[in-house]
Amino acid sequence: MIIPNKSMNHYFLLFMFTLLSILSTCDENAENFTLGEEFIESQTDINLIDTFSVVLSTVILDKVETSGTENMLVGNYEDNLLGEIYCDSYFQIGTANSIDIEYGDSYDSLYLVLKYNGYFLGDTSQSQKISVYQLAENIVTEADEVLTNQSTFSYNPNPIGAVIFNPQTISDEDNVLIKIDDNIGLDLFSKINEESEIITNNELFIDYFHGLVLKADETNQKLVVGFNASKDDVKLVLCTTRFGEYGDEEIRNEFTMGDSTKQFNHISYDLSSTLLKPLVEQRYELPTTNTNGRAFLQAGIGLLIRVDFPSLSNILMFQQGTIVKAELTVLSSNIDNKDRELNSSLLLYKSDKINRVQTSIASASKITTGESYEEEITYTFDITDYLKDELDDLYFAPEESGLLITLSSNTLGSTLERLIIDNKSPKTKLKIYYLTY
Amino acid sequence: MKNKQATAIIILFWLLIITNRSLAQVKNSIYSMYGIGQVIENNYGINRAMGGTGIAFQSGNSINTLNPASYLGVSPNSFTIETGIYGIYNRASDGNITQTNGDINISYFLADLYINKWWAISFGILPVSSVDYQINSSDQVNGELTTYEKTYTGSGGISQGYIGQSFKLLKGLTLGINTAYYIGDLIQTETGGGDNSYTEYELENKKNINGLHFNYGLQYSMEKTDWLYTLGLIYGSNKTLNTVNDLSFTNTDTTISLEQNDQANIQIPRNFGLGISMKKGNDFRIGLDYQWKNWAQSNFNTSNFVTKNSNRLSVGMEYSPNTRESKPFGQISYRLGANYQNSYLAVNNVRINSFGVNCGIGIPMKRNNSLNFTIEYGEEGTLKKGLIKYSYWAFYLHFSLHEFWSSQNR
Repeated sequence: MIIPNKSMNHYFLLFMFTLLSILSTCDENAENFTLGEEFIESQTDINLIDTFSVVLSTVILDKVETSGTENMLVGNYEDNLLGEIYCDSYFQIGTANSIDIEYGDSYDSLYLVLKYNGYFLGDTSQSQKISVYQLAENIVTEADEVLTNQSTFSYNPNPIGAVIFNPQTISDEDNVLIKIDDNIGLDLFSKINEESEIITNNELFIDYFHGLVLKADETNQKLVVGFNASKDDVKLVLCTTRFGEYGDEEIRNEFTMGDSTKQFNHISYDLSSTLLKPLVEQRYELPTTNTNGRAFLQAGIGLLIRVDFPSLSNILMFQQGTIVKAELTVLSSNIDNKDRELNSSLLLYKSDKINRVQTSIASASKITTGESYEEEITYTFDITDYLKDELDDLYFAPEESGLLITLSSNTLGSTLERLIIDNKSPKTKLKIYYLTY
Repeated sequence: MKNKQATAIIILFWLLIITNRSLAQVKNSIYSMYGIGQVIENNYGINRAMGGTGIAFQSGNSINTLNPASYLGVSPNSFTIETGIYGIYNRASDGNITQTNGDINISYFLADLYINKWWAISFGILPVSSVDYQINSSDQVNGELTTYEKTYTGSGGISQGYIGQSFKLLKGLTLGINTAYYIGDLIQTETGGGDNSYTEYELENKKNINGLHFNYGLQYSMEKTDWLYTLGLIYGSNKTLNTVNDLSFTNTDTTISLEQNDQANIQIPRNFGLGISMKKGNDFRIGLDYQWKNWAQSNFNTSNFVTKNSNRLSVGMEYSPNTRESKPFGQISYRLGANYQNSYLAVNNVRINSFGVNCGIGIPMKRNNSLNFTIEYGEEGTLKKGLIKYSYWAFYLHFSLHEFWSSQNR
C-alpha cells in the first residue's frame, strides 16, 4: 500500500488550475482566423438583381391636413410645372387675458400683429400685399377634428386691413403690424366700455368676431411666405390712451389667437393647364408614362409618388434563395428641381389599392454626389424587411403592394416643398441582393 | 463512496453526460473539416504517455482500451474507473499567417470490472472523431464590386459508448470483443451578412450519425527468463453508420429545411492492428504497435479531398522503479512514447501526416488510485501546396480509481 502525499495533490491541483486559466484565455482572437480560406467550398452566393422595373406614378390626396402646423402660409405662386397655387391662412382670435380700460380712456387704433418665420417660396425681392379679411362664420373642424387644404369658410369680401410686406426688409425678430379698420376697432372698444359679456366669454367672443383670414394680392404670383402660428405671435392689439396728470399713457390690450388647432392653411391650385390635369381623385394615380417620365411630390397640394414593382412576382420563381437586402433608389430630376431646396429626407409608406397611406416602411436621406454643375441627388430606402414580408407567403400581387413616397405630415401641411423624380433614368431603380444556396 | 477522488470522477462523468459535449480533442484544425473530422487515435489513459501504444499491453491500475483482450489485467476482485481531462495549445501556420488557440475539455470515461479469473468487463465513453474549425473569409457580390463577410465553422464529433469483454481461453491466451455504439453530430455552417449591410444568414449542414460497431482483440503472452512477452492483435470490421444529413437555412429568425442530395452514409473502415510488448516484473515494459485502417474504401462523396488507408506506428515504454524507501513519492511511473501516422486524408494530393512525442508520469495516491499526467508535443500537416501546418502542446490528466469488490480482499 502506497502512502499518498498530500502536498503532491495540492501541487497538481494548482498546476491544473493554472493550465486551465492559461488555456481558457487562448481563444480571444477568433475573429482573426482566416487560415484555410482556400480549402473552403462556398455554398452561398449573393447576387445583385437590378432588373425588376420600378414604375412610379403621381397620386393626389383628396385632402391634406393643414391645421395646427404652426406655420401660416400666405401668398400665391405660379409653379412652372404645377400651375398656380394659392395659400390663405385662417385663424381664430380669442378673448384677451386681461383688459385694462377705464372710464375716460380713448380709442387709438387696432392692429393685427404677426411674426414672419423666415419661410418663403419664390422671389423675395418683390413686395407682397397681404390683406386681412374678417370671417363671417366660425371655424369648425371636420368630423375627424382636423382642417385641410380644402376647408373653407366665408368671409367679408371687404378687407379690414392690409400691409405691403417684403421678406428681405424684415428680420426674423421684427413683428409685422397691420392696421385694422377703425370701425372694427371702435366696435370692439365699445363692447369693452359696455362691459359686454362678449369680452370675457371666449365662446361669445368667437361668435362675435369669428376669426380672420390672410390673403395675398392675386396679382403677385411669385411669393409665398410663412408666419408663426402660435398664441404668442399672432395677436390683435387694441391701443387706447389714458389721460393723466403727469402725461398721457398708452395702453395695449392683446387679443391672442384662439385655439391653434383651428388655424389652417387653405391651399387651392389649378392643375388644368399642366401634365397633371388628369389627376382628380386620389384613387386614380397618374403613371409617369403620361407625365414625361416624371413623378411629382408636392406639399400643400398633396401630390405623392406611388411606387410599384410590376414584375417582382417573378422572383418567386427563383429556386432556393432569399432576399438579404433590397434598396429602392429614386433620382431627383435635376432640371425640374433646379433652384429648389430639396427636403433632407423622404418617407415611404405602404399603400392600399386606392392609394391610401398605410403603415410606415422606411425613410431615406438625401444623398448628393458628383460635382456641383452635374450633381446628382438621390434618396435610397431600405425595403429589405418590407419585401421579405411581402414575399414570405410566396405570393406577390403588385397592385396590392404599392408604396407611397411622401414628406412628413407637418411638411405636407405647412410648406410648398416639391420634389420631382426622374423615372426614366436607370438610377431610379430597385436593387435586390439575392442570396442563393 | 468513501473515496473523494471517486466522487470527483463520478461528478466529471455526469458533467460529461449532462452537458452532452462532444469529446473534442481538436482545436481549430481545418483538417477536421473533411470526412468524419479528425480521427482521435489512442488518446486515453497511460497509453497516451507511451505514444498511444498498447495493443500488446494488459490493463492494470489504468485501463487499456486499445485491445479488448486486455481487460483481464485488472486485479482480481477489483474494478477500476478512470476519467481524463485534456488541454491543448495549438499553433497553426501557412507560412505567412500564424494563429493560436487553446482549449480544455473532459475527454473520456472508462470502467474495467473483474468478474472471475477468465472474464472481465469494460465499458466507457470515448471520442472517435472531432470537428472544430473557424475560418473567417469574405466574398464578392455577383454583379457589384462589394464584398461581404463570411464565416465557416465546424463543430461536433462522433463519440462511442462501448461495452467490452475479455475471456481467457487458454493459459496466456485471451480474446476480447467490444460492442461500440457510435453517435454524434458533425456540424458545418456557413454564415454571412449581419454587418448592417445584408441580413444575416446561416446555412447549416448537420450529419447525425449512429450505429453499432464491433471490434475484436487477441493477446497471447509467454514468460521467458523474467520477461513476459506479449503479442496482440486487433481487428475491426467495416461498418456503415446510419447517417442523417440535414441541410437547413436560417434567415431573419426563420429556419427552413432543404433537400439534401448528398446522403452518403459515413463509414467506419476495416482496421487491423498488431502489437508486441516485453515486460519485466512490475518495473518495466516496452511495446511497439502498428495499425492500419482501410479508409481508401470510404467514399465521402466530395471532391475536395481523397481518402487513403491510414497507418500508425507507435512505440512506448514505462519504468516504475520499485523504491518503497523513498516514500514521499511512492512507486512513481515514468513513461515515454512516440508515434507517427499517415492520416486518412490527402488534401490537394498531399498526405496529411503527423507525429507526436510524449512523456508522462504516474503518481500513486490513496487506495491504489493514481494520477497520471502526460505532456505531448506534436505536429500535423505541411506547408506544401499552400496547406497548413499545426504544431501543438497537449496536456492530459487522468484519474484512475481502484476499488475492491469487498473489503476482506484488501
